[in-house]
Amino acid sequence: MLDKLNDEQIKGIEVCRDKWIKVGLQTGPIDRDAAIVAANKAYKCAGLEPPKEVVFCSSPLDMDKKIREISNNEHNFMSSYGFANCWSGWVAFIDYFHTYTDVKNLEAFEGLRDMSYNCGFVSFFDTHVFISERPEYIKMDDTGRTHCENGPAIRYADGFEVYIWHGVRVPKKWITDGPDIDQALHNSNLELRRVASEIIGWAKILDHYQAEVIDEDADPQIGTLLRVNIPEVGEEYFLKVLCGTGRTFAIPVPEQDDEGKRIDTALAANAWTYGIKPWEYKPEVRT
Amino acid sequence: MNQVRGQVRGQVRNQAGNQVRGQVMSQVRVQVRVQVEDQVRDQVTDQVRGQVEKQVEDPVWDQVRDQVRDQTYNIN
Repeated sequence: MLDKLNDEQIKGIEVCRDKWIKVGLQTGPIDRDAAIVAANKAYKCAGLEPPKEVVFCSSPLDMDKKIREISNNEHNFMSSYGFANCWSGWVAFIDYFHTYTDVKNLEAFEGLRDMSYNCGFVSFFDTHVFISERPEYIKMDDTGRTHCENGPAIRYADGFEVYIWHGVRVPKKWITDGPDIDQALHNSNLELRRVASEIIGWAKILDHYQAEVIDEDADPQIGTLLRVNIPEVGEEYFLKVLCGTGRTFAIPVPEQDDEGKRIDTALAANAWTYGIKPWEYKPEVRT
Repeated sequence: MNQVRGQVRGQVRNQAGNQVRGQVMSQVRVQVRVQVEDQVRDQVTDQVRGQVEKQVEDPVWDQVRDQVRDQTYNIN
């Protein structure tokens, strides 16, 4: 029994992880000949006859249409999608043992592994296997979340697109035209409401709802303390401040500081954002 | 497509997916379970499978799947 990993096997953890992350995020056209070979191997590994037809689909949405059509609406993409790079975590897990250890009897997994290399989403049926192309591109932010602020974050060659803002899927219109402030802030989904506020920018929202000035510091980098009534949210406080890069931000601040003292000046609000007292606030360099 | 539909009509009730993905995976999982100590399996689960899921499946394929679902049911 494998009860401890040796140094070589431990080194293999990172290699295997990185390999499957790369495979899982691969974009561009699949090699259809290799996909057919892999599909036949997967069926053989499961002790089945090879599929009679391999149906290639331009995207997962196209796959949904074709599965419904061929199965007379008995099945759809959601009920049937199976292994491939969409489940690369499991593939990586088994591949690790297959590659770096002497755990035996893992040959049955090789077909699925090869499909992951060579296919996008896959749906298996007795006589047919549906294989989707991979996306044309996947865009991410610097933390690895899917994101694109001026177009789809994921796009397939047939036009199927997914619009995502720092990992949260949003309606296309929010990215192409910008969210409507009133509609966005009435969205019942709190996560989407937060994202909409981020896309619009709190500075614009505060102008829209005619925020009341509580205190305005002479230094725009210390800022202006505002109070605003947001529909279905209530009264909120913000510090509108000019940052060192020349852009204006609005930062939500509490009504009281951590000791329960009312924040009634822009300086106190700005100091709170650094976790210090107003009299301690003497920044020498702002970035 | 009509030719394909004709061939398939009535034949897609039992999904091979259950066998290809379910049977194969459960088979290999059993082998891993039998032949590997919990500690090693947990390490590989966290550092390989978990990392790949976190960096590939969660941010990308879950979003694609949900978009198909929502678009199919006209949610967006």
